[in-house]
Amino acid sequence: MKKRTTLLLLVLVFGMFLTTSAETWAAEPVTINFWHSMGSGVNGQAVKDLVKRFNETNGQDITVVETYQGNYNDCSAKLMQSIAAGTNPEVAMLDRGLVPQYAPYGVLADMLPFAERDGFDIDDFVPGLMEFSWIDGALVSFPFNRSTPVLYYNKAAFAEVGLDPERPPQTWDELFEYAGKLTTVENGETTRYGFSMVIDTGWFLCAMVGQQGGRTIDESGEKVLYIEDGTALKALEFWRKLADSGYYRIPATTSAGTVMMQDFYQGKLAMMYQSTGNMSGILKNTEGMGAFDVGVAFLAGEKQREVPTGGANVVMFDNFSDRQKEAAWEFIKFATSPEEAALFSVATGYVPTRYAAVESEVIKELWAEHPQYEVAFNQLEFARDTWGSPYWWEFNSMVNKVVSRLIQDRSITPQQAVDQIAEEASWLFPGNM
Amino acid sequence: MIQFTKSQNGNAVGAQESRRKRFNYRKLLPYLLVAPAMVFLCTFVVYPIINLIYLSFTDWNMISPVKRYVGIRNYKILFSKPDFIQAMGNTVIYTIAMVVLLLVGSTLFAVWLKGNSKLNFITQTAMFTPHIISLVSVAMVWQWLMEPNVGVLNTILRFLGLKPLMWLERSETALFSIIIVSFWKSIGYYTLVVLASLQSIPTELYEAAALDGAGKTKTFTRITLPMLSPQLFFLLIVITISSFKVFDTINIMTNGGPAGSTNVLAYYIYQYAFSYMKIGYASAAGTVLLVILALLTIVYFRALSKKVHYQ
Repeated sequence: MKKRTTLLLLVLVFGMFLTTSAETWAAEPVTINFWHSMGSGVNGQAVKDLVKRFNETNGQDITVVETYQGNYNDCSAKLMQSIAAGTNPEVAMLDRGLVPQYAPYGVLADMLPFAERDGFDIDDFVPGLMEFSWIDGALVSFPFNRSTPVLYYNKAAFAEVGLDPERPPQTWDELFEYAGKLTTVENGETTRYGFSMVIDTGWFLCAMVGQQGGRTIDESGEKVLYIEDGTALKALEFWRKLADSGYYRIPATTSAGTVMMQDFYQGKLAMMYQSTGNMSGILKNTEGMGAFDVGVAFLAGEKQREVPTGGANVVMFDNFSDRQKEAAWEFIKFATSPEEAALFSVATGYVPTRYAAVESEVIKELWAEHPQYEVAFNQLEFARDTWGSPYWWEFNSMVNKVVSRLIQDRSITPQQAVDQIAEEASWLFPGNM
Repeated sequence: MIQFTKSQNGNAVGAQESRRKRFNYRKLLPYLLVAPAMVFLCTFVVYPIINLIYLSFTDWNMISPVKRYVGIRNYKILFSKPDFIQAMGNTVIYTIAMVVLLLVGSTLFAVWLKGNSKLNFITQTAMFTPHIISLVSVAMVWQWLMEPNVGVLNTILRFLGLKPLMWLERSETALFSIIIVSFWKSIGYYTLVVLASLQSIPTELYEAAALDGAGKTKTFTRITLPMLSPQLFFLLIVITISSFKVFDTINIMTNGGPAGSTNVLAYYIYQYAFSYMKIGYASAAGTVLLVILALLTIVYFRALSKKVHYQ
């Protein structure tokens, strides 16, 4: 008798506990984590502002905690470890090239059901940026901070050597010719280089391959194509010709992009291929300081125009409760909304990811004041991402190493470089084995 | 009275019991005392090593739910991939250079700074300073000094009318530049170690040598060096092991570049594990490093137990 009463009491108490927790569950405040790679400066501030606006306005007691986790590579390394340990964040910024490495293991949440339910307009995103969003029919990522390389050039230097500041180079040959004209040498020392681009083969080798009508990797992501069709050889020959000419500023080993931009600010470099993600910083340090006007143009074409894209997408992880995933979805929806995409683009120079964002007042104002930003967006018409492959990341760093031998050390010929790339490909891609 | 006896009896029994207890307790005590250390050791040393070896036979990327068993394939790839062989070669070159430079350098500096003058004391302190500065700052400052266009080193070279070097920007000079930085960073510490043992050499030996009319070179080769040999041997092993593990300088100054010319074993492992997510392959490379370090340690202990003789 006594036992039964105790048992009954226990059940009652437990039941009460359950019902109360179920009742408060829906309204309970929820905190979600967001890992990103926007460190200091304007880009980091833009993320902080975005998160702050979301936390203040979501009205569902959702708090997003943003954490800077180092560059894309470091952030991904930490994500991998945290997934293995089960401590990963709900939402993260992931270099779009890394999405295919995560997707096959089912760790990324499919956001299609959420998007369909809420009538989220997926078609509004710029198609050239969506190649890493759909994987095997699942919607695993949205473009967030996306960039594309453009040609930045010093208009004052153009005028100085008699080039038309409103007519940037259109082809490889013109790029070479212009670089030659812009290079100045005093007492055997180059005081101004004509042109530079860093050894980022995922961007510039792929761009030059595409500009000749070639392809980097086949659709399946299993085979490297640019080795056999000769486009890689031609691109590398051109690159080497630049390096040998003395018109090309050989990139530094570390922080090459920063070093290159410093040279550009100081007038020691007249033209460079660099990401639109640096647009705000570049304009601030040149025009903003009253130094010289900066022109922005499409990358030089060859047979055709082609430009790769860069930057990161935003992903949601699958190992969370419905409540947390709902909250994460609310945040992603907010962060990729036309208004926020426009604000983020204005603050940083990353391209607006959606057509609706381009229509917004802030973007229109910005483009009226700095037409350079519009050039970057218009170039997306030629955007093509060719490397949806799980082998890409490792392969790319191997190719960078080979091209570094070709351009920095100048210890191998373009043909040897292609042979070495072929060997690296044979280690990784089933189609090249 | 009766009670007294009783309690005496009781005491006797109790004492016997507690002796047995104490006996057991005593037997257990050492184990209890080492238990915290052993738990720590097993969790952070033994288990990771076993797991490392296990992982080196698998193909895993941290997020995949399955660790696919691939046998010795990782090792086969490892020993035929040019970049591993390059990293291995760089590590060996770096280690040999560090060992030779540091042993010779620290002995010479120590002999030079042996006296007790004020200047010597200031120099000793100055030399030791790099050791206490964070390696990250050291690497970044040197990166700046070695900048090819505006760096201090090239400015000096130009001033002297010499051809400026590309330092970290070319394969031929990059590893050499890293060695300079590492040498500068650690020479002070090793000098101090040698100096300490130098000062413990009995002065009678030197007095006797002086009486016998031995020259400076002879005193150095016949007394100083042999008396220092145990410490020098100890340093040899310590420097070798620490050189095999070099990572920070590389990570900050070159990222293994240009063209892999400064890639070393530890950085290679890091790259494959955390950039390419090939945990299995990186574990195989890690196992190779483990074996090398284990062999070095065995050599070290063998030699240490025999003691290095100096007579």
